[in-house]
Amino acid sequence: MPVVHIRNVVKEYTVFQSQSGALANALFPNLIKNKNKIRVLDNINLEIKKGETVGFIGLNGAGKSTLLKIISGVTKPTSGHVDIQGKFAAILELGMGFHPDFTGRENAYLALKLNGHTDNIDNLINSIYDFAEIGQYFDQPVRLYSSGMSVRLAFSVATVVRPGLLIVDEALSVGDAYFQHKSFDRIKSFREQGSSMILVSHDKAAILELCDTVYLLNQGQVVYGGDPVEALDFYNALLSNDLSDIDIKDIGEGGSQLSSGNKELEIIDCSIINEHQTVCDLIETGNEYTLKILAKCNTNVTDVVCGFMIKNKYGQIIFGTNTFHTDNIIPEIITGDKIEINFKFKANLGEGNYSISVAFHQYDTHISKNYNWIDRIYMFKVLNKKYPSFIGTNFINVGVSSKIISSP
Amino acid sequence: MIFVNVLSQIYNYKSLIWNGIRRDIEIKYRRSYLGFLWTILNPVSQIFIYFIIFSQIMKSKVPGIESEYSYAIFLCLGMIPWTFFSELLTRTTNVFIDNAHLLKKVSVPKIVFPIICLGSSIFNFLIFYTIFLFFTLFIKISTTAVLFNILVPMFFLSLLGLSIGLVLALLNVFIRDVGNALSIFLQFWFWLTPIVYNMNTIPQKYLYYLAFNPVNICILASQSVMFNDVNVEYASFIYPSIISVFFFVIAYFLYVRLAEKLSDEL
Repeated sequence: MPVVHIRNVVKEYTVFQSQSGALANALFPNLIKNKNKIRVLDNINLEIKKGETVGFIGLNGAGKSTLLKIISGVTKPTSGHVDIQGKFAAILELGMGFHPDFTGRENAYLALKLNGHTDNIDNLINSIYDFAEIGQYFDQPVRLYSSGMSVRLAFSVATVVRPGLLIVDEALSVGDAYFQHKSFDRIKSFREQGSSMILVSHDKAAILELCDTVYLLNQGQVVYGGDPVEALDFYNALLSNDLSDIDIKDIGEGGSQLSSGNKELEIIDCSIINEHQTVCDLIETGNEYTLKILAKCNTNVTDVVCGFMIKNKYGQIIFGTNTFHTDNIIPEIITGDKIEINFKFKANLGEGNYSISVAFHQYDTHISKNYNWIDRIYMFKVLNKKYPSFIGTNFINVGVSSKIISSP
Repeated sequence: MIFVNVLSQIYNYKSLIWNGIRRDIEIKYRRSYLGFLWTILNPVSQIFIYFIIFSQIMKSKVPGIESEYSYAIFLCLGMIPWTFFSELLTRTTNVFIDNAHLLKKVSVPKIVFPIICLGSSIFNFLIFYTIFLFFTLFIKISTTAVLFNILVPMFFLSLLGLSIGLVLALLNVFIRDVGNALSIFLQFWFWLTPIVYNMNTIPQKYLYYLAFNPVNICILASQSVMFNDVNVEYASFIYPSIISVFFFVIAYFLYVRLAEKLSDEL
């Protein structure tokens, strides 16, 4: 039984020249013709299971906030069904509804009541006080709070009772490192106890760390739903491309390759070769390798930059650079020509599986003009044969010496 | 959303409503030295001024009543219920706009906010009226009669104020002119109600029009305690009842249609 079940949800706003038109439409929607509608959510279907953490990502205006408002019941969909099981708490916005002249304690009271709590209020207030750790400020007016204290209070209030579904909208990235850690721990323990969670964030690390599934929204539609790493790659591709320029190719073993760009310059091959000039996907820590990229030119292009990224199995970037930073911009390539680029590097990497993303674009980022970008174009595994065992993704050659200092 | 549902929503959120009423009262004297005293000082000084001005300086009297304080009492009997009514109406009309920050973020039955307005307006009325009752101890009028005589008028003023207020509140979200128009309209309404003047002084030809004012009978009923020969019959409350029910039905209809759309319009 899913905690959240959304079927064919559509949300439209109707724009009127006059306010009385808006009123008439709200009263008698069937009588008003020729409406100028804006569709902010278009046929959304998704399910959130018990204990699942789901991320919503997308550009500003993609419809994330509207979807959250529909799930939290603040607004109703124009059509479609929303089923929510159980009690939930929403931190839709920080400092929500806190009245500056009332104390933290008084605001906490109101917030609890707004969320429908009626029993044990005093106990809940005490545990809010304990968790927020803002000391005597709890009984001071909220206008005296720093923004960090407001965050602490807001988070403590929203999570004082373990909810069936917790909605976190960009709220985790505020607050100091200590409280961030503490709130992450609480969220994780909620998840272990079976709470579901919706996380809306532009913080890729938080999305990767917490989410089981990520939905990418674009112009009111879910354009991708699934693996967080792939969803973030897709999002990255969306930053510079139209949806139609992006495609996903299945490469077997549950993996997929995401490519984007206008293809004026098209990547046709990418491989890692070793010192003996043979292609290899098994790499030894500390050895020299070359990443060889081959692309063909479909239209005359200028100021070409080629870049690559190495990501670990969690999708975190281990290393990345491009020929803009290395001062190797290619001024011009003519239609029909091919270009080969070699990045020579020493594999100072820890054991594990890695993927390579390659891109051609104009100038230093892919935002201005993206010719071709392919994620997970090449996969390789690193083994450590020569050096003593170590952990981590980064190899540092360590020299060791020791001596015993005897007590006087 | 049937009517029973709306009532059960109010019941389920009763602790939020209590909390809201308390905040409405407390917010007025936050960050002040005299605190709760301010809530009392205002009505005290208003009643005190009436009693001094109209007994010592203007020497106004209500025909047929002996006491030198007769006009001050007359004025209070009309002014205090009117103040309640106009406060309730004004605050309810703006209640959704004033609470937009909450309505856009929390899923709460919208009806709790007008109910909070009703609660805190009643509280302010109780303070005002209690002080007035205290003043009546020193003059020749039965305090008990003044106390019980207000109940029926207050019931109708509450119903009327809440119903009309809710209609205007829902319209005000879409068309903000409603709130501005109300304050002008209330000024006319005040002078079309026999609060400052006595009904007996009105030329006969205008009396007919004044009868259309549903607040009229409530004020007259409140004032009737002064006049032994005037008894307001309960039958005369039929008209305000009809008006109240009329606006109540419209308010309910609008609420059912619009409540869920408010957060998109605010």
